[in-house]
Amino acid sequence: MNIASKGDDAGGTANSSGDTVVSANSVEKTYDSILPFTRSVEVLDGATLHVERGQVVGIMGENGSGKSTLMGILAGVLDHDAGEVERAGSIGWCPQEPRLYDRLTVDETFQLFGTAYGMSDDEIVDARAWLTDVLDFERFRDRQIRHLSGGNRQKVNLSVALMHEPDLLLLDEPYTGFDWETFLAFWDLTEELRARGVGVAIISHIINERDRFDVVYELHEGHLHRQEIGDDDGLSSEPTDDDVACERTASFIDEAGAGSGQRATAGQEESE
Amino acid sequence: MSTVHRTLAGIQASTRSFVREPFTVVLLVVLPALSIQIYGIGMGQFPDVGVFAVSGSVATVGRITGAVFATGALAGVLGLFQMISARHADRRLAICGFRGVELVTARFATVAVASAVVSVVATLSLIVLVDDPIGAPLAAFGGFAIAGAIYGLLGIVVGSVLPRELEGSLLLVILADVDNVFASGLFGIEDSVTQFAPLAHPHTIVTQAVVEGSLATEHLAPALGHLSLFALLSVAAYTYQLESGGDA
Repeated sequence: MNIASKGDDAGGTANSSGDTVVSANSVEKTYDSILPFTRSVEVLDGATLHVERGQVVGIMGENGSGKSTLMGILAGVLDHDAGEVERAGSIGWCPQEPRLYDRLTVDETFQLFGTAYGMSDDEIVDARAWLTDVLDFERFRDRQIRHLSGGNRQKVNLSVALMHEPDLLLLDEPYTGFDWETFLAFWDLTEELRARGVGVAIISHIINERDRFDVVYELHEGHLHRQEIGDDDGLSSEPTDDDVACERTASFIDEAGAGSGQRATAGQEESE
Repeated sequence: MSTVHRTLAGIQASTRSFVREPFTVVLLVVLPALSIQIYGIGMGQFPDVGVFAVSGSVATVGRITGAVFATGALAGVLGLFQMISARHADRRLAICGFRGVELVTARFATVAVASAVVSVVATLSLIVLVDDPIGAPLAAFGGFAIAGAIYGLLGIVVGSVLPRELEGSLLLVILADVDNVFASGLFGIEDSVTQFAPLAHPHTIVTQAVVEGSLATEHLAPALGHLSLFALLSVAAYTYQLESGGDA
């Protein structure tokens, strides 16, 4: 499949319709160091991104490119130095590292986070039944989080983000540790959420899953490069609106598209 | 969903996490008794007259000193581990809808429960291990409770600004040890210096309760003053780490 690229509108006006669930415009973020002889790290430099209702957006980039920082800013967990972030509706945030209480059971975790979301006991029970069934971890409900496998812990992590049926889902590598069946179940669930009008942003390294996204952003040197999926014009390697060349993006997507069963990170490729 | 409901849910979750660590429970039971005995035997090697200026037998004051040290160190380390283990999850819970004040209340209530448990164990251990009957066990418990609460709060402060298990534990244990030496009055250090040691007043309350069987009322206000100061410091530290995303 050929993919077209186009630059972001720095002003963010093109996508600022009522259907936008999160909009980030010209976001900048630098990690300053308070220690002497250590340098500050500029992570985001004018990053612009929009997620619409019913849209599944992929965010890709090499290790350390700032994807999780961007996700944290979108979720409101991290402050940004400049730019604007606007959110509409409720948010479900699934961080890369499960931020859960290790000594609570799965049931107690649902109860605690459901209480935080303001859900009633019946709503919590319904959400738990739905998610433990869909992601297949019903039999681990009485286990403490610390005694779960990495994959099952990740299922709970994802479920906590989903249980209140948010308008926007922000998922940071949500399928880490999933077995194949759960991986497929995850995408079925994502399709279901898309149909319900939920906006979903996913940090992913699995390039050959790109067909599942409506839009893919690549984060490179603090800038986001946007590619619509499903366009036949091919990916342009011309500089985007923010004057950063997109040759790397063109290269890795072409390579990933050339073969199946491959997993690639930005600019790199590795066999599973 | 009411604030009370959310706060209770937070306290329930924190308390469950606390009691579900068997090693912690074992340490809670064993360490105070061990510390009381080691200090008691160690100090019992010295004569009651001529070396230390103490109001009771040196062995008894040594046991009291061991109990206060165990209470402070244990409560501090429990507060520290409470903070380290929950800091990222607390931040997520805040993002999901918990208010800062609800989280602070839940976290502090758990530290208070942990400190109270440590104090009960220390009091009971002292009752069993000291030679003479304790005249005012409730007053002794009060002294331990204040000592435990101060160090539990100090554990929150350390856990917020130095969220590392090894370094934080070492810092707290060393602090409790030095503080306790100052507080014990064994070495005749100037009162103008020792009165600022967080354990000084709780130590005196316990000592007077055990040796003289009365409540040291004049030390109650300064002890509670220390407690208030550390409560303020810990609220500030916890709020800072909560707002910084648990990555401070």
